[in-house]
Amino acid sequence: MHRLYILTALLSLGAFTYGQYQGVSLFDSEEGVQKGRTSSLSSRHK
Amino acid sequence: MSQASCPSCAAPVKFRGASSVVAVCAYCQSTLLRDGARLEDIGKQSELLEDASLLQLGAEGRHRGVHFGVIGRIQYRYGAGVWSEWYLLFDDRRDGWLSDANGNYVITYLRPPPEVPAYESLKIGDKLTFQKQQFEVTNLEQATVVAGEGELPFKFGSGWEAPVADLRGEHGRFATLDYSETPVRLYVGEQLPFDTFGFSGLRDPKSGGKSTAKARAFRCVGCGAPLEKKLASTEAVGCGSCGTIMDVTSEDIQILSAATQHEREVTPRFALGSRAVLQGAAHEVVGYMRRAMTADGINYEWGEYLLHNHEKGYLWISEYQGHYNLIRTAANTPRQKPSLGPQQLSYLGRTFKHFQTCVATVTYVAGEFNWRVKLGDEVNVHDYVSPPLMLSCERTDSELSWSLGEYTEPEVLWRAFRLKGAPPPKVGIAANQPSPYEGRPGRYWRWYAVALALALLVQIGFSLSVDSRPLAELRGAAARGRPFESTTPPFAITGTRPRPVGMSIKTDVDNSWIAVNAVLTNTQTGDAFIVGREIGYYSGWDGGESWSEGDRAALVRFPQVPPGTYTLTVDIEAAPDAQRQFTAAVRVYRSPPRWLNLVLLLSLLLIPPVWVTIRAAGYETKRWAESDHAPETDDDE
Repeated sequence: MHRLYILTALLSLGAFTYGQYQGVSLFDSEEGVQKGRTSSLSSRHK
Repeated sequence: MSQASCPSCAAPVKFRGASSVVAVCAYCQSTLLRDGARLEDIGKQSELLEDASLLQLGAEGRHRGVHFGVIGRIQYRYGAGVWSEWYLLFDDRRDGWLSDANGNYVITYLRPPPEVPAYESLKIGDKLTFQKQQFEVTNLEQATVVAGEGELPFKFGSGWEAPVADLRGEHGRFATLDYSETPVRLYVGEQLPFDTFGFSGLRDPKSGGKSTAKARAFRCVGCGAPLEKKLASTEAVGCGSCGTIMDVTSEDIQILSAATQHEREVTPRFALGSRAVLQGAAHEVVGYMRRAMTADGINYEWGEYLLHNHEKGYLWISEYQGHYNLIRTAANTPRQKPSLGPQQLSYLGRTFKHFQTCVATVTYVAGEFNWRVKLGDEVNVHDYVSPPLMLSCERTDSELSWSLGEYTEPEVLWRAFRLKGAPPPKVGIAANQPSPYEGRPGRYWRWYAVALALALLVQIGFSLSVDSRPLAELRGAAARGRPFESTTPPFAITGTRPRPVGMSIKTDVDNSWIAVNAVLTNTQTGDAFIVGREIGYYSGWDGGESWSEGDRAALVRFPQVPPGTYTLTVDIEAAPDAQRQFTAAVRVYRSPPRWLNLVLLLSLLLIPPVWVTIRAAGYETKRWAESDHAPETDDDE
């Protein structure tokens, strides 16, 4: 069974490394962040 | 070597050993005492008792590289049986003794007489030191000489009594104190396996001769059932039909225990007389007994099979609730280890923990035994476990013996005995049953540690690779009705792929709030990341205690910001009731990898090791629940 654990650990480490390389996080929240175009921004600030 | 003629029958008598004082004439059994060149006949020897020894006069062997020949023998009787001391003459003119008791071979040499306590004051378990080695008294016997043969280094006669103390030390060391003469004679040596002596000229156990182990048929004194004594070393035979136990050491069979035991039907799983190859040698089941102990008012009973092989000696199989052990006499005395908890012993490089101490009582006997077993015989048993091994110390007032058991899967025995059907199911966990989790928690934790180290390496590597210096910064102040708005000059977010960008907002707001709106705009594509935060911080005193709520700072993370040229626009508005102006500083920087991913990874990988550790601990808890060291008493519900 511990071989399955080793495999899981290695796969998880791989996924973790790739995630860190990509800069993604499972708990990244974009709460309060909007994406838009400068035109909408300018209208908001007018 | 000197040669003379027997004064009684004129047969030639040889003295090979310089120390030999007595020779027994091989033809007329006269005991001849050497006095210079003269031989004095001091009487006839009794007949030697049959035994199962493979040794005989003329046999040869080696000890620690020196060749020896067997030139004499004295046979002793003690409380539970007989044993032989074989007198050896080495090529380097030394002499020694080889003791052969039930397949246990001990070689000893006479040493200078020591200062020792009186025999009467010795107790089992006493510690004595000879030649800078510590020994423990394991046996105290009033041995009686049965007879002798060949040549021997002292005068003796049948019926001569010898109070003898046997002692054992570490690494098979063995000593005997013979109190029959003054000063006390000390013999020191070691117990060794039969094979190590490289014997030749041994007796064929199947051939004829004085000490041949040939089967002897007789009838049970209790019920008349036909019985057999197959082994010469057998002292007692229990009748499987009525339960009478008989002393069979002489033609005049005596009852040791009357037929009171068999009010129940007992069928040994391994039938008396059946054979099996165990531990590399063919063994025959010669005896079966049951013993019982009482703990917390509950009676526990188990079976024990006695098996025999001519070279390997005796082997036991214990049987309890579907669990089996192969047990042999331990050659060495275990060493006590310092321990704060249960007593611990060191043996064969392993640590054995005390499991239980009980009084075992013989409740059933059938077949042959090499000691005079009786129903009701009691012995103190101390069990120590190091799965799959178990060390057992059996102690009476006159004897202390160690045995080493190895847990054996029933399927192994079923195959060895060629039994049909499946073994009975196991009930509970045996004291020395190997745990299915043995070593697993360690393996899992080692791999977890490897994963932890690698993940930390990855995390630290990525963290160090990020330049966390600010990419842009804007600071501004706003007051009631006087907002602040400004945009930075364009700045570059370099790279080849979208990266997380962080934004920190720090203010000096106090008992008020300000609204901070920040926009990160890609000047090339027009894409914007917009964030608005209302930051408020209040504090004061209430009832003599200070309080505060809110925060003066905020952190924002944009997970995927493509590389390009950006501007930062910040808009700060103060609250309509703000008493003064407040400052806010907005800083943009590359966000390092989050530690949350690492925490998540390590938390998930933690589950299997924790699970296996819990299961392993649960198994051990069940094992030790049956011991004297159960963590808590199980209450009947």
